[in-house]
Amino acid sequence: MSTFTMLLPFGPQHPMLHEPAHFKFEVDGETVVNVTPYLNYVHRGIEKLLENRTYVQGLYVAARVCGICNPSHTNAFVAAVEEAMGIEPPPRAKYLRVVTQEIHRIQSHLILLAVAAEEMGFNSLFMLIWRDRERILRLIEAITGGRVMQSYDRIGGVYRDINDILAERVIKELSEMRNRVIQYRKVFSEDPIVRRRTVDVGVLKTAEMVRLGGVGPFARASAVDYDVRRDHRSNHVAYDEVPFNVITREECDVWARLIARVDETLECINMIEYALKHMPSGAIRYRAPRAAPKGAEGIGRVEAPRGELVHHTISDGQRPYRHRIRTPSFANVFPAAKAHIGYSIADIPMIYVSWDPCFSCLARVTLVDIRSGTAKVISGEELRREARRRWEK
Amino acid sequence: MGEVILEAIVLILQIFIFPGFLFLLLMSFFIEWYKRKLFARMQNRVGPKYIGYKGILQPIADFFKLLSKEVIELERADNHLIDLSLLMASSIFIYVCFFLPFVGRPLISFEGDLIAVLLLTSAASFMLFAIGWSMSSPYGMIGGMRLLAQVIGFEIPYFILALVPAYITKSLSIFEIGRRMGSVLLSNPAYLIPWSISIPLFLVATQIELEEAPFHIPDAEQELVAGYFTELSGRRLALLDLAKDTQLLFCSAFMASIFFGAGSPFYQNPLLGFIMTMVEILIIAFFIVTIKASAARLAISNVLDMMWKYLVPSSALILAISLLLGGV
Repeated sequence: MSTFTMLLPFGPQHPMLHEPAHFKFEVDGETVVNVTPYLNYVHRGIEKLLENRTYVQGLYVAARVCGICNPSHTNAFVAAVEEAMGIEPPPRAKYLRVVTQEIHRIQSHLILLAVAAEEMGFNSLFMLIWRDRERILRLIEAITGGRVMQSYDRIGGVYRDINDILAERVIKELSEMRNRVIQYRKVFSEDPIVRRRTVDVGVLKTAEMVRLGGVGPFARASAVDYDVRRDHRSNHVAYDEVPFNVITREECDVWARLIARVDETLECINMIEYALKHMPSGAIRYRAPRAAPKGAEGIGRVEAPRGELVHHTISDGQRPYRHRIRTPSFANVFPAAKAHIGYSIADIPMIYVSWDPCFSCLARVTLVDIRSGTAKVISGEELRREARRRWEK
Repeated sequence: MGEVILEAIVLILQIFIFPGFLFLLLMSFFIEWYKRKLFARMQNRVGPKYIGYKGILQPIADFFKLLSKEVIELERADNHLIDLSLLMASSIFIYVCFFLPFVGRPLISFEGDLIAVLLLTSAASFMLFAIGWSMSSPYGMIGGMRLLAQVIGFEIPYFILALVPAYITKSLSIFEIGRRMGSVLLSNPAYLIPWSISIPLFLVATQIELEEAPFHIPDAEQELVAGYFTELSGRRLALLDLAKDTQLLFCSAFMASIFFGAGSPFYQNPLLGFIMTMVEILIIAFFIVTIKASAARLAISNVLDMMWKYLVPSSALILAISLLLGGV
């Protein structure tokens, strides 16, 4: 029997997507038989920008890689640079970094849960979670000085200190937030329609997830027990002193990915409370050198809200000779595309949202000729000509 | 001769002013505002706010703004079919409202008009499908196909459940059903069983007909942008919005008249009866919006599953119970 398939484009502009990307779904009736992701709609040349700036200036460029998880990018950048310079921040700064990292993880996971509710057509839940996220943003503003975008981590420490009154306020508001999150956990795990839409949808078994290289909560929901915070002890954040559990789930489906995030949010609240109560006293910043020695290398690995984030820098003595960023969303594209196959059109938004994509941080340009298997770098004018040629075709 | 002219004038006023076109238009806009405001408040939002008292004129402003905007003629689509289906759909929804007893005896009423109304509404749903089908866009086509799958499923329980009050009151005229419902239920309380069970089921079927959550599958925004009306713009979109508003008005009023006998204790007093009808419509719309606000979207497979496995058999069972109670 021959089948008739239709090409259903999701993107570059589509209500499902919150950033420009393009997924071509080949559908047979309501069933997805193939997916082709087309990314790179928001290439901004961040790595090149970093190469043209000193490390101190680069801090602010690194923060602008991503709007949602910018502290993770600052943190990874700072960790890489500190490693290259051979310095270590004071203990209090390490704790303060834990607080800002984890409070950002809370707001990022709340975004995802809200968006997941919206993608399944549950607008009321979206609005309620969004309201709670706003309270977290206000806390972030109180701690770091910036509501969404801030460069809190500095090379050799952090930007500003936290006092006891603020710490008390954070603990109080977070314990209220814990009750709210427990309530959302109840909604996500008990609402019959939510369960129908998410349980046994987009299943990706552990072996497949490992083979395709997924990271973060997306992989942990497929029982991949891997968390950078635990498995790669770093000298730049105090994760080795703050106790926490790595949340893994066995179900491997969309539901597990959402619940893993809810549980991680609860875990984050515990971590922040612990860190604030056990914060060592002392300086928050050491004076750092302006540049790393020539040829010095550093790698910053951070567990961003979406998974493992790596910044790799090589210094030329003044500024980065080369700075490479590998974002978690880039690692997750391939397992996520695979997860769609065999499920229906109605499941597309749910599977899509379950890996929490963030496109503007992953765009890189390399042209690869598939037929000959060669990769080449081309000029902007050539790229424009190529784009026009494809568009006219 | 004078009486005939007077009657003609009254009839024309009835058709064009009350309870005809003008009333229905204003009522549709009002119920859209009511729906939007309620939905917004349930979601912790403000909703329409600026135009008129608490934004009550917002739907009218939206409608006229859309009318003034450009209509984008689609290149690879059947534009004539789109226009025709839109006109048909919106006029059918207004036309079926003429069968409903907003105040006293409706404009059109005959024995068997219940069946006529049900047929006309399913024809209107088919017109909406035709809009999606005549587009070349995959969103429109898939939206149209989903709508058709859903319509075929829900029409059967909707029909059967609408026959329950008809059987209880032994009439096929909407007006007569409403008028007799109260007295029949009082004189024969056994009928309360099928009557009360069929109300929630009929509400579910109404939710499907209106394509509201959890059944907003044909126009699932995150999947199909806007489903069968993705490519509509300007006047066309205005007409479609009007059709959807009128549909909401019709569905609530239809349910109010066949199950609760719209304005039923006050047939002698038109004003009280009218107020009663409006209150019933708003209460039913409130329930529709509450369900909409508290549910996520089901997948099309879940809905078809639910309809054929549960809704159709249970509605047939209820009709059978009422037949048995009537002693056939």
